[in-house]
Amino acid sequence: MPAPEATGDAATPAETAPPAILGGPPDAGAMRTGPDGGEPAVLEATVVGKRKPPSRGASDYQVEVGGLATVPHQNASDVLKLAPGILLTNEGGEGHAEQVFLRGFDAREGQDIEFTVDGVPINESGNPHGNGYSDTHFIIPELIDSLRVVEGPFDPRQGNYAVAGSADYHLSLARRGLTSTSSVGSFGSYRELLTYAPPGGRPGTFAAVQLYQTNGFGADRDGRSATFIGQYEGQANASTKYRVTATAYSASFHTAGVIREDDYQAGRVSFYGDYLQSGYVQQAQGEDSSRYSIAGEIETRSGKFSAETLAFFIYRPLRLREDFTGFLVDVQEPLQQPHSQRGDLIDLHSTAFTFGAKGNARLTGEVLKQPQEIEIGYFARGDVVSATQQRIEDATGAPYHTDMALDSTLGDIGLYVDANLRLTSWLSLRGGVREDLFTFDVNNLCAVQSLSNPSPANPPGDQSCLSQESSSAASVAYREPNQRVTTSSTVLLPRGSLLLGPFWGLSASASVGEGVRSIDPTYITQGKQTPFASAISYDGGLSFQHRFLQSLEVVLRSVVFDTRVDKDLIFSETAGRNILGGPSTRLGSANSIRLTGSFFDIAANLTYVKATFDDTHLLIPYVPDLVFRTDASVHKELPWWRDQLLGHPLRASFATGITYVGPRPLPYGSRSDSIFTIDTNMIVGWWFVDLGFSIQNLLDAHYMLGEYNYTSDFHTEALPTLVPVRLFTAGAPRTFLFSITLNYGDDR
Amino acid sequence: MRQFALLALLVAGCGDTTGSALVAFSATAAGPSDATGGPISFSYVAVPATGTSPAVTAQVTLTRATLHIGALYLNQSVPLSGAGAAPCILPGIYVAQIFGPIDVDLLSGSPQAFPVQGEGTQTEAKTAEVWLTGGDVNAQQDPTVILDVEGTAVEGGETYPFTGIVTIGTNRAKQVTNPATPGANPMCRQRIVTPILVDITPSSGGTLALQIDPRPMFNNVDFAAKGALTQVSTSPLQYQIPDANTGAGKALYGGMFVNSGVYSFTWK
Repeated sequence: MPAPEATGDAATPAETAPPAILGGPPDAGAMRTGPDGGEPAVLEATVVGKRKPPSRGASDYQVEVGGLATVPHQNASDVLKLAPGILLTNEGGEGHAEQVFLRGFDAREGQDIEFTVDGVPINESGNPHGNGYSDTHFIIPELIDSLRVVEGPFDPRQGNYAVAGSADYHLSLARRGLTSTSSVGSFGSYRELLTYAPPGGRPGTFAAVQLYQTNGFGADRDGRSATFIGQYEGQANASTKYRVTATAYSASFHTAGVIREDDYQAGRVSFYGDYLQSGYVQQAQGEDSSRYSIAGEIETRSGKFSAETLAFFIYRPLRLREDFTGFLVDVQEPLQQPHSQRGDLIDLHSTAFTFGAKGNARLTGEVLKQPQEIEIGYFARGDVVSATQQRIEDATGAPYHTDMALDSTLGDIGLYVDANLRLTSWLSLRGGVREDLFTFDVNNLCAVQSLSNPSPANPPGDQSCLSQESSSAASVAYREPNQRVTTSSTVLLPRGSLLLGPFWGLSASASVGEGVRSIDPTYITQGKQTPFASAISYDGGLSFQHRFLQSLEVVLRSVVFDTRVDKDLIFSETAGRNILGGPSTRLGSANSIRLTGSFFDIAANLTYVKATFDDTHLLIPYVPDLVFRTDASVHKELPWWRDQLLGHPLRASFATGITYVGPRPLPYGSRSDSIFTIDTNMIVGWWFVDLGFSIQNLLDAHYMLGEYNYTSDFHTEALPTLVPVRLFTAGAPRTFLFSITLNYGDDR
Repeated sequence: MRQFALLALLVAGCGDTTGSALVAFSATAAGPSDATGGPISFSYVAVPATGTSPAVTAQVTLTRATLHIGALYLNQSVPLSGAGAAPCILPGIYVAQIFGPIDVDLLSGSPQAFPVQGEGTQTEAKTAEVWLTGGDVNAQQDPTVILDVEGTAVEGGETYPFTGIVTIGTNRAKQVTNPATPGANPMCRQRIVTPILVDITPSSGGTLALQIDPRPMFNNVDFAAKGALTQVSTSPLQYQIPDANTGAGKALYGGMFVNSGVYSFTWK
């Protein structure tokens, strides 16, 4: 936790409170009870850390990683599990963005969750794999200080993609000085992490480099990546703070893809194998991904006014090769030369430039003898995206068909007003309204792909992007192969929360809000009036927070929620991504507990949700209805031998993360297997050295991380397999990782 | 763990579903129900290929008739009159599949089981496909004998002892007539009999029964027409139906693709 530091100006109550932890009360950060749970304690400290937005109720999780940092986290997405109801899967391998399931949403790789890192957007507008695709692998897990997860669209600051909710990572580095962590483990995994943070400097000033490579736990899962994050946080004067952040990330991974269960049962493909290893396909799947960004933020205060402005620029190339169906979708068209199925491998590439700014101005004051706040803010973002998707011939590796070629310029400019009104010391009304303008300028470079009456004199043959168009029933005319479409629309998003309490540690809240997700540029047609999907969410919750025996902090939360979406996203194996579906509803409950003591930190959450389509009332496939997760850490300085160890005690910690996911509904009335995994980590440290040993999937559970029912044909039978069967991606087996950490310069 | 999963299902509301179901079933094929395993005799009015000679009645006795089936598929699509020919394979429409290969004795009315179980979904099927192939349905060449017949025909007072085989390869390929649509008649279309109208919803544990009647296959075979048969010996007199798109060979191949009367599906 960052050390308090004088700023020279008075902090608001929200800034003086210690950080709330997972499951903190709805008003955490604004009011805290005294040690005896009675009257609110008056705290007289000022901190420099970024001001946390006022809580939006029981579904606003301000997750301090704290002692749970020692629970094994493979990547930044893994940290999301500290918030209730989140399941992560990954059909695309280690370098691929995790698929996130949250409160009944199959948010795929972020399409229904707004991801940010210290306010800088991660969602990729216009990404052909999924509009809003969010790859968080560029974030080094050790730098994650806290995470704000708002489950639902209840905060006017939440922008595009905040349909299921939002997640904002906050980075800082508590361990000062120069630190090196070297890790080696199963399957040829090797990781080197170097961090530097000036001793005595601000927690937000640091630099870190991570190198990673692995052979992977099965066939064709090798990969390597490198990440750099550098950040400088400074203070220009007593009222102005600033921060500059630069990131660079590049990765290249192979992936095994899906396996048909009947092929696994018949011994044609092993559980951790793939079709490439077994010789049924010739081309590898994988991903080459990079992300470079720079961002700067200024925060100023002047009396009752404060303002923040953040500007960012992101360059993001991505190449993705994946195959969900084998040899299925290459249908013989009359225009084409006769051919067999040539292979369904998708070769997708996009290059995106994202730039923008966001900021706010806030006025604080006192009315009714209560502190009041009103904030206006803006968000402006532009994306210039060039994207292609081609199909690769399995025998030759050459592209044989262009599915899509889009040049898109996308804009999102939003304004919001947010009020934090305290009517009494125990009743607050928070909320406001947000309005976003979405603009789309999409040049489809491959607008014509079929002809009903092709010209015999000028047959188009196997070309994907045609320069002919049927002008009448019997003739064709020349045309350029592209078509530009533009559209724009505004959306008004009211959001509000009512918070009561705390009364002896007990608080209650009710929230309602609308969220929005802009749609994929693929779906844009000229003048389309509503190029977005919207959701309305209702939420009610209770929370309890109390400190017992001076050192035991207990936080309990229980939330009931109901969310309706007008255009859901449904996984399509032939498109290799989610496509637009019909309206749907989710009704469920999220419950969490966190116990924090002087030598332990325990968090657990359980979420149940029922997600159904509105027209058929059938369950939405793939969405888990029951998710349980617990993270626990015990950490202690050992009293023994201190004198013999140069005055530095031995310290030890043991941490575990346990995940249980109930059988998920799959298409065609079936359910997946359940998932139950245990991860552990043990660290023994002395002075400047720490030795760590972690085991992921301790029980070596042979589990299917992703399960699907759909049609595929990997040529494992003499004739095409054309009916839906079970497919899966294998979860990682038991994995060991040894690490040694050396530090110089940390005086703690 | 299992108990935990069951409890979880209970809590999650195990009565809820995404609809439909994956199913596994068995399948059989047989000749017509009146076939006993011995020769089948039948007569029909042979329509002359050229139209220059008058129609005559042909009396045929089959002593051997086997049909090689590569696979069966049921699908949801309903043929639309006036619509162009659909692609051989249209992903997403299939309800059930049963793989062979199986050589069906068409002279026996006893069900002959497919070697493996069929699989599919509990979805209503509207049409069926019979895949007459020995391997890749798109291969240009396939030496597999799809139909093997032997018998005697009497037509116009003449007797024609005959044998015949049907293979489906380049001998059945259709020429490209429009250079703008070279893929309009792929080889797969020469090997798939469809649409065969059905009304079947597969369910686990059931049996898909296919009945194949060889008699309608001969409806257009004019044994007496000039060049219809190839005489392979005079003593004993023996004719062969050519394995080509000419004469009786073309008519017999066409008869295999009659989508009503030859193939009928039932669910048991």
